[in-house]
Amino acid sequence: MSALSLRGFGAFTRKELLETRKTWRMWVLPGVLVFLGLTTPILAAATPALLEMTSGSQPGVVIKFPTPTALDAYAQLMGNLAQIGLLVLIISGAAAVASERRSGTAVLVLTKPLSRTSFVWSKAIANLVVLLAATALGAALCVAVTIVLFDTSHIAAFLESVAVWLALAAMFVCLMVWLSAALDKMAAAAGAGIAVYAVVFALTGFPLVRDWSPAGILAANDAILRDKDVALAQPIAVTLVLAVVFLLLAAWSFRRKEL
Amino acid sequence: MAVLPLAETTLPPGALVALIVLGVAEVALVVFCLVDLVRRPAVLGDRKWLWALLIVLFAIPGSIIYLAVGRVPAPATDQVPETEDRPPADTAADALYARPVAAVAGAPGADGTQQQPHTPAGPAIEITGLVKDFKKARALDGVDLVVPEGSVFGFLGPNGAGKTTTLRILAGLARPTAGEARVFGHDTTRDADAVHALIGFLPDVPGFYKWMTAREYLELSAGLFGLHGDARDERIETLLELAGLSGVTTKVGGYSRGMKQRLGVAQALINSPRLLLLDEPTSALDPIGRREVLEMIAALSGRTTVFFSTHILADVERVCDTVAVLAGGRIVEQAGIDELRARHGGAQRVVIEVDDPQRLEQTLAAEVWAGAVRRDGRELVVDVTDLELAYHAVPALVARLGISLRRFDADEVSLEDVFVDLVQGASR
Repeated sequence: MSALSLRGFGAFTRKELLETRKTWRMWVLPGVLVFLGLTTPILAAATPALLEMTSGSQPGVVIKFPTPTALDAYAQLMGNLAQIGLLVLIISGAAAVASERRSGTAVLVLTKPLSRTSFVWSKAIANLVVLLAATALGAALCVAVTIVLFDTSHIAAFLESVAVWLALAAMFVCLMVWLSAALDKMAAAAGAGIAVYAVVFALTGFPLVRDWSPAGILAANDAILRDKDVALAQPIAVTLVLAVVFLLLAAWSFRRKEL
Repeated sequence: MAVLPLAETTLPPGALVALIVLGVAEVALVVFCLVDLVRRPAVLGDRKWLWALLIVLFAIPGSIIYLAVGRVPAPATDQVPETEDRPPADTAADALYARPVAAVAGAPGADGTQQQPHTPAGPAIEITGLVKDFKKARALDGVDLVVPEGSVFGFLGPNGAGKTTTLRILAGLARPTAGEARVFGHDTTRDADAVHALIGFLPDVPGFYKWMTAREYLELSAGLFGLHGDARDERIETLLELAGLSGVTTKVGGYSRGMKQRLGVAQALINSPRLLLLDEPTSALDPIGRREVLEMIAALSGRTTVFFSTHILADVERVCDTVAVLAGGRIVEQAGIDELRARHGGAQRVVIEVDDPQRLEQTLAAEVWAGAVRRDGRELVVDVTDLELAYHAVPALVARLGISLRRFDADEVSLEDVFVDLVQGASR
C-alpha cells in the first residue's frame, strides 16, 4: 500500500461536505464568525457610550472617550478572531477524527477502498472550506455593518489582516486534524490544541522567535490595520509549512492507529 | 458629576436597538440550551456541569458548540415501521451475484448455461501463527486457520476468546504482533487496499452516520468502491429491498438495532464481496431479525465465502458447513459440522428417567456398554458404546430392580456439547 494513497478521497470528501451541510457542524464556526462580524462593529460603536453610562454612576468620575472609528471596529474583530475564533476552531476540530473512531463510523468506511490518508485529508479539506466560507461571510458582514455605522475607511487593510489570519487559522485546522487523529480522546486533542495556542500566544512576547513563527501573525494584526510596515513573509511561510507538516503527521499517525 | 442621559451619549442611531435585540437573543439561546441540557438524558462526555459552564461562560459560542456536538440523541427505538414485503433472500442474492464462486463453479446457472469458473488465489483466508498482544494480555496465541473459498464458515468461541480481534486483523483494522493473515493471498497488513476491495465487513455494533438515510449510506459505500450510474442504482435498490429499508426515509439515527444490523449486512454486500466477514451478526437481533439475517447468509452459500463469528450455536448449525472453535487464543478444533459431531460424539447417549435413579446408577456402573453417567434430577444421561445393546439392556435392568421406567430416549450429541467440551478442555 502506497504510504500516501489517496484512494476514496473524492467520495469521502463529498461525504464530509454533505455532512457539513446537513448537520450542526455547519453552524459552529460560521455561526460564531457571523455573530462576531455582526456584533463587533455595533459593540465598537456602543462601547464609549456604555462606558460613559457606567462611569457616570461613580460620583466624581469623569472619563473622556475618543470617538470610535471604523478602525476600532476592525481591530476589535481581529482581536476576537485571534481569541474566540481560534478557540472555536480548536474545540470543534478536536472531534474531526476522534468522534468517528469513538462512534465506530470509521471502522465501516475504512474497511472499504478508502485509505487512511484520504480519511484525514478529506476532513482537513472540508474544515478548510468551511473556514474559508465562514471567514468570508463574517468579514463581509463586518464591513457592511461598519460602513453603516462608521465609514468606508480601512477596508483594504482589514481584508489584508483577515487574509493573514486565515493562514494562522488554516494551520490550526491542520493541527487539530493531526491531534484528533493521533490522540484517542476528543478532550485530549482539544487540551493539546489549547496548549499549542497558549504557546503561540506566549511567543508574541519574544521578538526573535515571534518573527519566525505563527506568533508573528498574531502580533502583526494591529500593524497591518494601521498600514505600518511589518515583516510578514517569514511568519506566513513558517505557518503554511507547519500546516503541511501537520497534515503529513496526521496521515502518518492515523495509518499507525488500530481501530 | 453629571450623569449623561442616554439621548446625549454617542451611541449611533439603531445601535442601541441592535444591542437590545442581541442581548435578548443571547439570553434566550443560553436559557434554551440550559433547559435542553437539564432535560437531556445524556450529553457528550457525560459531564453536564462542564457543558453548563461552557454555555454560561461563552454564551453564544458556547451554546452553538453545545447544540452542535454536545447533545446525544435519545436511544433509537422501533419507531420506524418495518417493511414487510421483502424479496426472498435467494432472489436478492441472485441479483447481487451474477455467478457462483469456485466451490460451485461448473454447476448450471439459472439460465441453464455452464458458469465460468472463478479463478481463486488460494484459500479465502489463511492465518498462520497469528499472535496479538495487548498491554496486559495475549488475545491470540498462535492461531492457524484455513478457510476454503465458497464455504459458510462459523468462527466459534466464548466471549473474550479473540474472535473480534481475529476479524479486526483480517479486515486490516489491527496489526498482528506476530504471524500473518492473508485474504485471497493478500497480506492484511501490507496489502490492506487489495483486501478491502475484496471483502465486505460487518462489525458487531455497526456505526453509521446518524444524519444519513440508508440510501445515502449505500451511495457513499458504492462511491468508495467506484460504482456509478445505473448499475449502482440497481444494486442499491436491491440491497434496500433485501434489508427491508426501501420505503424508509428516516435518518439512521432513528433506526432500531435490527434495522441497523440489516443495513449493516446490506452495506457489506455493496461490492458483491468475495469474502463476507461478519462479527456476531445476529447477537443483537430479536428472533425474527435473526431468522432474516440467517436466511440472507444461507442464500449466499455457494455464491461467496462467508466467515462469521458467533457464540450462538444454533445459528452455526443452521447455516454453516464448516466451523472452527477458538478458545484461549488458539484454534482447538476445525472441521465440518457433521465431522465434528462424529469426532466428539463417538459415544452416543441415552436419557433414562426412573423413580429411583440412584439404584439404577449403581447398577449401570457394572454394565460394559455404559460409560459416564450424569444425574439430573430423576434423569440419568448415560454415554453408551453400543446403542442397540442399551435398548435391550435398560428395560431388563429396570424390571430386575423393580423400579418404574418413565422415559427412555436416545440423545444425539449436540454442537453445544462439543463446544462446551472443547472450550473447557482448552481452559484446563
